[in-house]
Amino acid sequence: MQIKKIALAAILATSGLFITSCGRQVTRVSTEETIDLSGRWNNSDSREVAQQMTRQVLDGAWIGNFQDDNNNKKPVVIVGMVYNKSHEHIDAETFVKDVEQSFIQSGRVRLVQGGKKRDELRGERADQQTNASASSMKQFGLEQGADFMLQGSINSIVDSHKKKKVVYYQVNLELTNLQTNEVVWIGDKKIAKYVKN
Amino acid sequence: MVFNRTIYSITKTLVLVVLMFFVFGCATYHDRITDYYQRMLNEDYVGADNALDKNKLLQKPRNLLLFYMEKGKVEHLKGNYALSNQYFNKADLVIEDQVTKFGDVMVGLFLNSMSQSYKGEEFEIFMIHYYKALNYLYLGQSQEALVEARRISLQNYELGDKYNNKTTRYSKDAFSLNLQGLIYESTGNYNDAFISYRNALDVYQSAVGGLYYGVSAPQNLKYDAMNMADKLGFVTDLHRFEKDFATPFKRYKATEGGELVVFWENGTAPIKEEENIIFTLIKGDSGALVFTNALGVMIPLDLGIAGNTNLSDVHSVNIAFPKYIHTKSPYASANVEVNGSEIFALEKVHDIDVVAVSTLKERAGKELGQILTRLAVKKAAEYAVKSAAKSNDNNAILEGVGLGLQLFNMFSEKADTRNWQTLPAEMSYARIPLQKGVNKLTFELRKPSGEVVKQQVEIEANGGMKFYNFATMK
Repeated sequence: MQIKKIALAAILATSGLFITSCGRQVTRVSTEETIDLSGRWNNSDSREVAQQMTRQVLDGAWIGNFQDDNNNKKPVVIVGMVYNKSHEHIDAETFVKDVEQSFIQSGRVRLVQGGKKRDELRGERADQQTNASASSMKQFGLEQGADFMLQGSINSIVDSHKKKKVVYYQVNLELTNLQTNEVVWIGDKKIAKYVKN
Repeated sequence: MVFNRTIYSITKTLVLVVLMFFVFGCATYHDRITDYYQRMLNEDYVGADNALDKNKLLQKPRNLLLFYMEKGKVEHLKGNYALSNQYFNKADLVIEDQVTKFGDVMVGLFLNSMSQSYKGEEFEIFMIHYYKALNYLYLGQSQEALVEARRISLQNYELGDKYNNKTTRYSKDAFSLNLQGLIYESTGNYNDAFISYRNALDVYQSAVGGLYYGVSAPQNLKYDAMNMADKLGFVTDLHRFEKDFATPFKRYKATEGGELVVFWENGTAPIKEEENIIFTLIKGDSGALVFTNALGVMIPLDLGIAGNTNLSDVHSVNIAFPKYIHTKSPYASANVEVNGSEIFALEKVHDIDVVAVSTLKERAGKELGQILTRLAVKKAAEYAVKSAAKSNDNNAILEGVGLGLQLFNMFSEKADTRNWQTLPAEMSYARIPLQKGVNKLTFELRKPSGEVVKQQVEIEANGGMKFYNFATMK
C-alpha cells in the first residue's frame, strides 16, 4: 500500500512538468499563407505590400502620359532609396524587387540598375577597358538615363498598453520625374495589427 | 532479526557506493575549471587552450555550450578569428537547436540542475554575437558581420517576447543594440544604424532614472543617433534628440583615416558559488502552502511539479542555490590618447556584473519555487518509505531504501554554478578619429589606487570605420 504511495509521489512529481520529448517539427507552408506569430513585420506584410504596389504602379496614368508626350517611348525607371523610419528593421528589398519585376514583366516600363549594383557594373566596365578585347569592350558614357526615380519610406506607429498593442505600418512608394521633379505617382499600403498577450 | 540487520547494513553500504558515482563532491564549476581560468588570467592562451581540451568536465555533452564558448574566446584572444568563429558558430547552433529532452528534465528533478544541459545565460548569448561580429569584421567579412547584426534583432525579440517587454525585466540588451548600430554604420547602412541606435536609446530612456542595468545612455550613442538622423535627413528625429539630450547637434568633420571603435573588456564576469538556504514549509495567509526562510522570503509551491503529493510530513528543506561572487576588476577607468594629441575617455557601455546579478535575482523566485517543490516531493517520498518500513514490522529492505533516498537527496543536492566565466565584468568603448596611415594609440588604464598603466598599440587606417578590442582580465 505504502509502496503505491511512493510510486504515486514519484509519478506526480514528474507528471506536472510539461515535457515535449518529441524532436523539432518542420512543415513546408505556402508562401501565400498568412501566418501571424509575433505581431511584428513578416512575410505576409511584405507580400501584401508587393501585391498592392505592383497593381497600383502599373495602373497609374503616368505611363500613358509619358508615352503621349514622348512619341510612345517606354519610360525608364531607376529605383532609389526606400527609407525605413519604423521601429524595427524592415528589408524593403523584399517588396521593391516585386515592383521591379512587375515593370519588366509588363513590358511597358524599362528599368535601369542603381545603387551598389550600378557601381559594380561600372567597375566591370572600367576593368574591360584594359582587359577585354577591343571588339567586346563596352564603352563608357552609353548608359541609359532614367526618366523616373522610385523612392519610398516605411513608417510605423506603435500604441501599447499593458498587454495590448496596436502596430500600424504605412509603406509609401513614389515616382518622381527626374527632369522636372514632378511627383507622378504615389502608392501606399497601410497595415494595422492588434496584438494581445 | 539478525538477518534483517545484515540486509540493512549491506543495503546501506551499497547505497553509499552507488552514491559515490553520482556525486562529485562539493566542488563548484569554478573550482573544476580553475586551471584553465588561471591560465587565461595570466594571458597564457596556449596553455589555457590545452587545459580546456584536457578538462573532463567541459568535455561532457551537457557542458558542450560552455566548452564552445570558452574555446571561441581563447581563439579570439589568440587572434585566430576564423577558428574562433567556428567554435562560436557551434555554440550558436547548440543554443538554436535546444530541445527540452525528457531525460534532461528528469535529471533536474531527481538529481540537480548542475547535471542538466547548460543552456547559457541570456546576456551570454548576446556576447557570442559580439565576438562573432568582431571576428568577422577583423576578417573583412562585413556581410557576415551584418548577419550577426540581424541575429541581434532576433535575440532581442525573443527576450522581449519572453518577458512581455516589461521594463522591470531584462527584456532588451541595450549594449547589443548599440553594437548592432555600429556594425550597420560601419557597412554604410545608415538607415539601419539609425534604427538600432534609436532602439538602444529607447531602452535607456524608458529605464528608471535612465540607468539600465548599471549603465546610463553613453554620450557616444546619443551623438551617433543624432549623426545618423542628420545623415538621413530625418530632421524631426534630430530635433527630438536635441531636445531630449539638451544638446545642439554639431556636425563632425570626418578625418582622412576614418574612425576607430575601441572596445575595452575589463575584469572577469562574476563567478557562481553555492549557497545553502534552509526553507520551512508553512501554511500561508491564504491557506496555501508556502516556503519561507529566515529572511521571511515567501516562495509559493510550484503546483505544476507538486501535483497532489502529500507534503504534510515535510517541514523543512535545505537547498543549494547559485550566488554570484564578484571578481575584482584590475582597472577603474581608462583614457586613450591618439597620436600624442587628442584624448578620449572610454565610456561604460555594458556592465555584465550588474546584468548577471540582477537577472539571477529576477528569476530567483520562480527557480526557487521549482527547486523547493522538487525537494519537498523528494522528501515526501523519503518519509513515505520510512513510514512504510515502520508499519511493515521494520522491514529492513524498505528501511535501507529509505536511508538510501535520504542520503541521495542530501548528496545530490547541488546548485548549478556554471557560467561563462571568462567574459569581462564590464565593457567600455570610444570612437576615435584616425589619420591616414599609422596611428599611435596610448591607453592609460587607471587602477582603483590611482596608479596609471600605459599600453600602446599602432593602428593602420585608410578611411572607413574600423574596430579594435582588448581585454584586461587581471
